[in-house]
Amino acid sequence: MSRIAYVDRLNEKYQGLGFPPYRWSTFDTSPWTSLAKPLAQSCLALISSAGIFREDQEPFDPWAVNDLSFRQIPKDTPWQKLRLHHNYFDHRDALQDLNCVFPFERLQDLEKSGYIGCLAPAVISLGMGRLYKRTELQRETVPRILEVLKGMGADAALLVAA
Amino acid sequence: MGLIARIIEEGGIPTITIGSCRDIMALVKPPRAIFVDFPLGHQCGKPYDTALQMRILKDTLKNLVEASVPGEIVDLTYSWGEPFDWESYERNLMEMIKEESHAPPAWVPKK
Repeated sequence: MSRIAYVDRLNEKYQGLGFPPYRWSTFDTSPWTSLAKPLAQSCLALISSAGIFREDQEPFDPWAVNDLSFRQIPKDTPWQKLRLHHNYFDHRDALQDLNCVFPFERLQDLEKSGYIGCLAPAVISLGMGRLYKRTELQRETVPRILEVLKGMGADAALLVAA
Repeated sequence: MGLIARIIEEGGIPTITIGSCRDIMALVKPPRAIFVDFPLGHQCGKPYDTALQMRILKDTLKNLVEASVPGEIVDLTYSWGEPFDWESYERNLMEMIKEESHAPPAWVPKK
């Protein structure tokens, strides 16, 4: 069992440095929407918070604090044009093979094989970093993401938490 | 990401979230969650292990179809194979920062 108690360790660390206790978001229930179509007919969107962008897009700050922006990375973007700016996790393996945190190639494989109907035309990519502006995230950023998802005809979304 | 998943789900698009911080997911309760007990930076598998990456992804998508309990976390049983803990997380991060010569900016409490 190597399950790490991130909440406890982060609380200890930052309160030890003199920060006020972080107010973790907690919920008792979860919203629910059923998948309307079989996977093989569904358009699946990928959403990542690993600070990935295309080389000609505005780079993420690898030490981001409260970055509520997101990039739309077209799904036909070649690998060589992707960049990762995120220093809050050990990204060295991901720089060797982005699929560790960003299963872009594997999703393309699943699209080709017909396991999913299609991969949505663009990946939604965030950097966020240390996040204290959760209300703004919920009220402004996510509604914009939702609009993009609906515009792309996404039937479901796969989120990879960085 | 759990917060984002919740709002997208409320907006009418089903979501599934993969993460390696189980305790945080248990608090935020994304509608469908997959826990991969790997060090951060490997939520979707090991580098160049295409077969493992594909298994994790298919397990995840299977759950997108089959899950029926909102907020439930499904624990995948893949093992990292080597011990890792908070201390190794911090150590690796420092090593990476040193290697890449990216000194972190000062992060101190506001007075």
